[in-house]
Amino acid sequence: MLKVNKLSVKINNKLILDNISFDLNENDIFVIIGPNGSGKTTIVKSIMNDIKYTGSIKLKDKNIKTMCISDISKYIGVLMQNHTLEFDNTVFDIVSLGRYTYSKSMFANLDNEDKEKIKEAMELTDITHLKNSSIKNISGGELQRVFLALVLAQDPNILILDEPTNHLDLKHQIDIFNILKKWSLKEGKAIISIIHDLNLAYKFSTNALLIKEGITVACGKMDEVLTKENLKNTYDIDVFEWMKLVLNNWK
Amino acid sequence: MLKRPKSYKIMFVISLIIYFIICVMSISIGSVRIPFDEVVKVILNKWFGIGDISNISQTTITIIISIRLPRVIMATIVGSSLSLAGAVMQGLLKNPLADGSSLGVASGASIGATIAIATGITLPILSEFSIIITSIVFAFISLFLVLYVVRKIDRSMSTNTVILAGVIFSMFASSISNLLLSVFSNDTKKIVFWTLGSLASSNMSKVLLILPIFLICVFYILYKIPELNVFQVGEDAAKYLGVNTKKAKICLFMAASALVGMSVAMTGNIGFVGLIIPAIVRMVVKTNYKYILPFSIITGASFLCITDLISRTVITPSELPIGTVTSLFGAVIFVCILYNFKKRRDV
Repeated sequence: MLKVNKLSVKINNKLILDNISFDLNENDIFVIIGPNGSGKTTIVKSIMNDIKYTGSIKLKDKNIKTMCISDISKYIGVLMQNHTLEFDNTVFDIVSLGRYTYSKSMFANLDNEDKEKIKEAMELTDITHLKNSSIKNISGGELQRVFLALVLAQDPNILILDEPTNHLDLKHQIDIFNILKKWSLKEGKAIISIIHDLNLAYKFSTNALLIKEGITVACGKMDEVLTKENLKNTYDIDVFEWMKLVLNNWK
Repeated sequence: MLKRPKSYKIMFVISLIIYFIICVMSISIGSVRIPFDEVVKVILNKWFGIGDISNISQTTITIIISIRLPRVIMATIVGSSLSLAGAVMQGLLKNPLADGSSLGVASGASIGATIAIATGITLPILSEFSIIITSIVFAFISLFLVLYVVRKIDRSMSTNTVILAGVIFSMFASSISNLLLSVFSNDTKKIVFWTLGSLASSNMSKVLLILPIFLICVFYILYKIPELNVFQVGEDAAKYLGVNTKKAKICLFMAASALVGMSVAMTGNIGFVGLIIPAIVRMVVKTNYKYILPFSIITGASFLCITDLISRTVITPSELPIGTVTSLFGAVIFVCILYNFKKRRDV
């Protein structure tokens, strides 16, 4: 579905990404793993045509660079890391913004397809009961699900997530990934996610890209990428030993 | 509790009726009192050719048609312009305290107008129009100057920094225009006009001059309602939802500053309208711009008509500057909004 080939990004003469290549196929959950500042978010920005890059990114054999943002947004939805809201929106208001790219006349109401997609997204993320609640009165975990529903209502084929479980407790982290897993198995869907939690990555993803300072350490099937050696090279600590140590401390 | 769109429609019709009642009241009340039915009869006859007005004195007709009606229309245009511009700026900056006066746009526009008046530089045919153009240009420049400086200081463009920069710029800009007026015209009355505003000089030709600009800006902004809605989730998120954010932002800011600049050129600097009207509207119709904008337009118009009525009747025969009345209400409501906003932040 998405082919990234020899992607390189230079900002102020500093190489942020160097020759990154990967393919995303249907029903993949592709995770991008790496230390802070390794260029993970820059990959997302490149895919969304939001930054200058060399190399090619092809969406269904069409070069992303030739597409405008309103076309890209019909295929790709992005869930951002931080959400800031100043006004007292309702949950339904926020989720329905996902339909923006499909309807553009000023006073038009949501049509049946819009309503159907919004309903589906809210059911999948289990926020239907919050429909009329104010966004100011719900918890962090619920807020993250609301924004996930917003992106799902956009009905993209590819969902890109930038640390979707940031600031969430363990149960909510697992909840979010269960929702994502379910969604990714639908026809023609795939997910790219930036993630820090190696356990979640291991449990839920199919493929992974491990990067360090903009350079690929490993890329491919999950169990081939997250090896003891690769993780040690990426994080400069023995992740495997560390996890064993922690686990042994559990009583 | 959240109201459903259906009740918004009824509320909008009620707002329209209230607006028309305020208009008729404004035309009727004044140094010469004219009965309501005569006001309605004269307007219907002059505009639509309906009914017979042969029994109404010529003086009354003149007062209605050439003095009070233009003033009411001017109040409508300026009131709705200021509050619409405020709503747009608040939406784009995600800042409930933003508006033409708090961002320094109005004061910037008055520099433009005073330069045009002081230097006497005018466009060949439309001399009145050159003041409007310079006001709009200066409004636009000030807005971008303030936002540029804020961005340099604080990349997150937090509410407080934006307002602080706006207020500082606003003071700076008003001193420049006061200086210009003192040096070039030596007329302190003009300073009062530019800092507190007045609708006293309204006439039909001025109304016709700004009506096209007003209509174009209003329709453009209404056309951009879906974009304004999406901007509520932040600029980056809006971009990924399919909005050409850069273009939308620049165009909407241009339309909003054109509305403010044009209003300042016509009636001076009337403060706080753009701040309090959208704030009050938001309390009732919440966050969908499909409702916020039309309600802001109609409420802003009603508000300025009624404050103008107060300003010219409370100390007859002289007139209170309208800015005194709007600021009197505005300052109190501004503090309440700020207090609520702070409290919510601290929780």
